[in-house]
Amino acid sequence: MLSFLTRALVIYIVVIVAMRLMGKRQLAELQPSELVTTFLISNVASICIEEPELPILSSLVTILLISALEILNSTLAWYLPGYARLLFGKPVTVIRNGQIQESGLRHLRITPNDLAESLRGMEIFSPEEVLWGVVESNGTLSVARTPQDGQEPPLLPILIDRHLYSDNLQALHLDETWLEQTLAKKELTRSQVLVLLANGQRTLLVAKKQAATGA
Amino acid sequence: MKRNLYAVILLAAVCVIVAVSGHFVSRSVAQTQDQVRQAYSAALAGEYAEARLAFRAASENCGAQSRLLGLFVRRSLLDEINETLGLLEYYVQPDNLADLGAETARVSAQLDQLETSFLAAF
Repeated sequence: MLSFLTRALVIYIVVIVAMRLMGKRQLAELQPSELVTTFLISNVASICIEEPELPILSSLVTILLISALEILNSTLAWYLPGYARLLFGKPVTVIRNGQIQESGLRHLRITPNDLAESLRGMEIFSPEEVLWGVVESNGTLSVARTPQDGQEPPLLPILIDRHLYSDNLQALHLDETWLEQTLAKKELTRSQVLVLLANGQRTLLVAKKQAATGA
Repeated sequence: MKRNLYAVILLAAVCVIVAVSGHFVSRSVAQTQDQVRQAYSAALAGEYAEARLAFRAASENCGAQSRLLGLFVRRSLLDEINETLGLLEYYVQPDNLADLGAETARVSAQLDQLETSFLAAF
């Protein structure tokens, strides 16, 4: 009986420390790899508490190892956008200029009913109200609403951390020549751009800092 | 990034824990194997009182180490070894050496299995 209590206490503390070390990413909308990590840690922890015959150190070592790998994996994804896309996937456009993109729905295996339900959850009752609807890599639906009269259209991502949103470029009747010219005006290359947003009327460009040593 | 440092520290801690615990398991198994072997040799040489004391010492030593070994290996394996070790001294009789040999071989195999269970890659 005492072993249950001891194990529960130790595992509880270790899991809290592990989740804290992995950071807020684990607590927000989870990417697939983060979901796997959370499931694995919770399963290992619960099995350790329920099975006193299993050596506790093997569970603790497993939890610490998974936590370390998750941190290193997310760091690798930060430095290598291509790896991040491979690991997390990329957003898929499902609504463009009020039109449902059936190819996107097919790719995601989302039914029109699922899409309509997600839109209703955002108090949107017609796809015509949506300028750009995208299913993010964590499965959530994000929308940019069609501007009302006099309103400025929402800024759409064109280039984020070397990933080019070519479908947004096309939707705004722009091309890569425009992109290169815009970057040339600021004397930047694609790899120096953190975020580039545009809506056909205005452009927002955020360059990566030169001395990037953040926490 | 500070979190990378945490990850490196965690990995280092994992390596240290695995290395230290592996060393402890190997050392404990080797020590118990030696004690059992010496006790059995004493029994074969006809030194029955000495053999009984040696088997008892091996059993008590293994029992004491089991408290820490239980953190690293399955408790069922330790229980089996302790049960077998606890019986050995009672097999030390002039007309019971064959059974003593069998049980000594059993505990030796169980100790090897204990070490394998920790060191096995899969």
